Amino acid sequence: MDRRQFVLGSAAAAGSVLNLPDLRAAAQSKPSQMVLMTWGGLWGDSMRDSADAAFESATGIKIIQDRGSSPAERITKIKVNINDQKFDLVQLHDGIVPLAMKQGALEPINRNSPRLTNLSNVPDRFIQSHWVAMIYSPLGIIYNEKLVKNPPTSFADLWRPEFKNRIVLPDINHSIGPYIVPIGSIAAGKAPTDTATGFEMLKKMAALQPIWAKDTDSIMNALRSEEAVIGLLYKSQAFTVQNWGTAVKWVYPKEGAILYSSGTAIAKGTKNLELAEQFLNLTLDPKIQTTYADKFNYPGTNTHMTGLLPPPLQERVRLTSEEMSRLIDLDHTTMADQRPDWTDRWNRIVSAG
Amino acid sequence: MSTQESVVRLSQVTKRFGQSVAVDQLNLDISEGSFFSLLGPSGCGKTTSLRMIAGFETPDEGDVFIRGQNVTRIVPHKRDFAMVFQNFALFPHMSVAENVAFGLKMTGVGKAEREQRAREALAMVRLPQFADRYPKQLSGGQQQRVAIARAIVMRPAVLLLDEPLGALDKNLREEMQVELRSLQQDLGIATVFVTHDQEEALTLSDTIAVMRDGRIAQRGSPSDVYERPVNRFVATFLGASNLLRGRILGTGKTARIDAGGIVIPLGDATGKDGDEIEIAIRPERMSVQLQGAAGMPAVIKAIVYKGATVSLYCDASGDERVVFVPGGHPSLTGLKTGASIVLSFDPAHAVPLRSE
Amino acid sequence: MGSGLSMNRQTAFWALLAPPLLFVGIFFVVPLLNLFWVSLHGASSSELFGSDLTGENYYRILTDSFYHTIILRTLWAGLSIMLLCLVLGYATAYVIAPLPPRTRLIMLLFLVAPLMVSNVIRAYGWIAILGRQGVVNSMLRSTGLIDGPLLLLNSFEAVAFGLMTILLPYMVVSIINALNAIDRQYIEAAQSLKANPFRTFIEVVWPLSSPGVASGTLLVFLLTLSAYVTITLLGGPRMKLLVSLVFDAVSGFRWPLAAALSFALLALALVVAGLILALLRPGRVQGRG
Repeated sequence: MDRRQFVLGSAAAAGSVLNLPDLRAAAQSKPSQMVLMTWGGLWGDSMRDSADAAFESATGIKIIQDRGSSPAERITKIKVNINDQKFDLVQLHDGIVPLAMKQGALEPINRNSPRLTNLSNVPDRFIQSHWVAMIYSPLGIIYNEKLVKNPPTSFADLWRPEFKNRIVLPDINHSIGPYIVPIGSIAAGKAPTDTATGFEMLKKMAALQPIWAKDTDSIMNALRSEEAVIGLLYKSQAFTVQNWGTAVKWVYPKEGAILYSSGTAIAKGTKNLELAEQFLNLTLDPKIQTTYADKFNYPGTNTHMTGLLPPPLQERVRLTSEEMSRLIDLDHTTMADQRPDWTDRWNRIVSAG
Repeated sequence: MSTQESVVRLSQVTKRFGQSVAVDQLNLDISEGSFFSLLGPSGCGKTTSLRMIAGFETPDEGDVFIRGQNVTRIVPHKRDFAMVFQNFALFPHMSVAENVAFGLKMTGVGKAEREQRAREALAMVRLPQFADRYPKQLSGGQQQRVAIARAIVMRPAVLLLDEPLGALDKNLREEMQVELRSLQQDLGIATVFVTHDQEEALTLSDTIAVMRDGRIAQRGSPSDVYERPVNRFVATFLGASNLLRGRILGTGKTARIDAGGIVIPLGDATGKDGDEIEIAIRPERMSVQLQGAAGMPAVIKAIVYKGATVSLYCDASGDERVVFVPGGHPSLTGLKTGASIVLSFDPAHAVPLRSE
Repeated sequence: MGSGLSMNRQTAFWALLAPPLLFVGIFFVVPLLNLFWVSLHGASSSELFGSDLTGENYYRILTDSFYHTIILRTLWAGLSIMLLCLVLGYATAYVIAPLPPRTRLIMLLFLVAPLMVSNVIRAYGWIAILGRQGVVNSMLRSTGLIDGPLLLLNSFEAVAFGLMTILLPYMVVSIINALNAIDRQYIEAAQSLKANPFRTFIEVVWPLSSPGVASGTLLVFLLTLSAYVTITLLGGPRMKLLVSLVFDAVSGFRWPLAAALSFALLALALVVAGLILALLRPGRVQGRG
């Protein structure tokens, strides 16, 4: 992982020094393939089998997945290639979109494009100027029913001293790492934007010596091994942990759950803008979105999607309108702006404390 | 020799490496102040014997004594000896002075005294000005002297030398031989010297033990061993020899050489009338005469001029014979390859050999 | 290459050296200089780095006590892991070195076998072993030695342990080579000069093995500095070292700070490497004091 980071840095440096020529002739008409940067593993496989396959059968163009990079690296790759773009599409989670926009890595979404037919069935909260969410999930509390006698009901319960050493939280480098600041502030009864309170709460949390997990798999593993008895997790992933046979239960916090969403954007300077729009539209297709409900218990952003699911799955995936209305939209623009600063402050509290 | 008089004694010592016997029931006595050489071809057990005195090898049978103390089971660093190794083994990370003072430091001699003694030892090997150099900065001969200084500074009961001159070139070797001998005599340290070089052994030793297959073939003074070799191995390993066949006559006091019919005295060799016997004659003890004289008729195959001597390689009825004639000797006059001559010798110089 | 048959040694020297020099020049020196250039700028939200030249990144690292804490921790971690590896590695090498070549090779293969597994997988292996429900805790609990599980993960000890298993082979192999390069005659010479086994080791074996010790300790220290995966997985965020801050800075797109931190890491590496060489003086084996 360290190496990849380093190579990326060197590639950026070497590229700017040597100004390597692009060996591929710029194919203005119909390309034979297009490049999508996304996550690896089950997610990438599902993309390949759903949207990628549908796109290939509709256009005859093969989608090549670049799975090797973290979301931040994807943005850097687009930046480095901006004068001769090798990438067409990029998948990102909501939290990093403002940063990608600020870096000028994304094409704006043309809401009037005749190719974006599914856009009308996606609620506005999922559409940003340069990106459209494909799936979402509420972020709430997960706890071990067997080991926690007094079930938690709110984010504030994470700070209960009895959970010392047994809380699992995403660390600052996790895509939702900085969320602990607004969550702390919410738990203290303040607005999510009250950063000062959020960091005060982080100090209290650090004293409880939580297990800081670098990725979502680590959160889930900590719960599975019962290293942790309580933590933060997406509702969708809670089902996975349950399927492993761990006695966990997911709770919609009474302060409201945090909305997490993930979707697709078009790489700035793509040579296949119209085809990229066509692909983006496919990710919003209700039928295709059912794949993610089926595999990950993620609700899709297309309002027609739930209806296509079998009833038991509908039950798992669906949020009541009351729950839907209490979902908290974080201020990602400010948070993305502040991320380096927050990382620094977080390190000073957690790592040097 | 009794235990009290000898500095080093090996008693019935046997050492095996796997199946092979390196040293076979060896007995050795090295007396105070003597220079004792173990001479033999590689694999004869001479180095193993030396290493058993040092304690680097432990005998399978028998005992090793140093100054009367049985040291067979005593570790090397508690034995009273010093050693000069084949490649000198000077510590590369220490200066010459540090190398020489090392042993004194290990035995707890104070800094001032050991520096003084190291300086003296270096003066003795004529290297006082090299104290601060490192071994790599010295020539082979200088390293050799440092190695000797490092050993003698310990004033050991016995000095062990494992082919110490082998790494030097020929001229330096001869120079070092002389130096080593005079140093040893000055200090009077009993010395055991291992070598495969017969010339070195002859030059340096009070006593030579010629070894073969883990046993001693012959021991004695250099002239004993050279002039009166007891068997064919010693006669040929130590210098060149012409080996002749003969038969014992009458009471066994004399024998007649088959070729040429010369009759020689047998001394203490034993046998009965008609027994075959082998006789050795050194090439320098043979002489060349013109055809018609009494002796062994022969034909000259080659004449090799060596300055001080001339070697004549002859064919005497199918046997090769070698004769060393002093350069410029009158008998050489007119000799050519292919000339027919007669070889003869003084019967007193004929050495009857024991069969092996 | 030049004049064929009459090509002299000088030409051959440079001809043979040119490809690696060129390679190192293009792929190491140039990017490194580029990185240094980056480190002399401020951060930018839209570009890789800001436009004005500034020393603020270095000033921050030098004056901010947070960075001091992390640098000292990095130094402490590197040195203590290095010393642990040295003690264990030397002991192992000392036992393995005199074995017959075949046996030695088999032992070395065992020793190197863990290196055939990726660092990430190995770190997860340690998590399974050291975790609350891990092998160590279940064993201790079943023997009744402890009531509740011990917290073994996310600690300096976990990182040291994990790194040691990775780095020990480097140390052992370096030292074995050095020990085997020592002529037996030196050891016998020391014995013949009345040195007991302990003094023989201190005065002769240890100094003569110093080239292996130097390369082993350098390798271990430098690899510890950059062992991001193991440090992150086994140490957790509470055990962050300099390399973790480089990663954090990169994640936040603060390339200039990341570059400056990398140079701080490089400086640390060079200083410690210099100290190791000054202390061990491996050149003395060549008789240069």
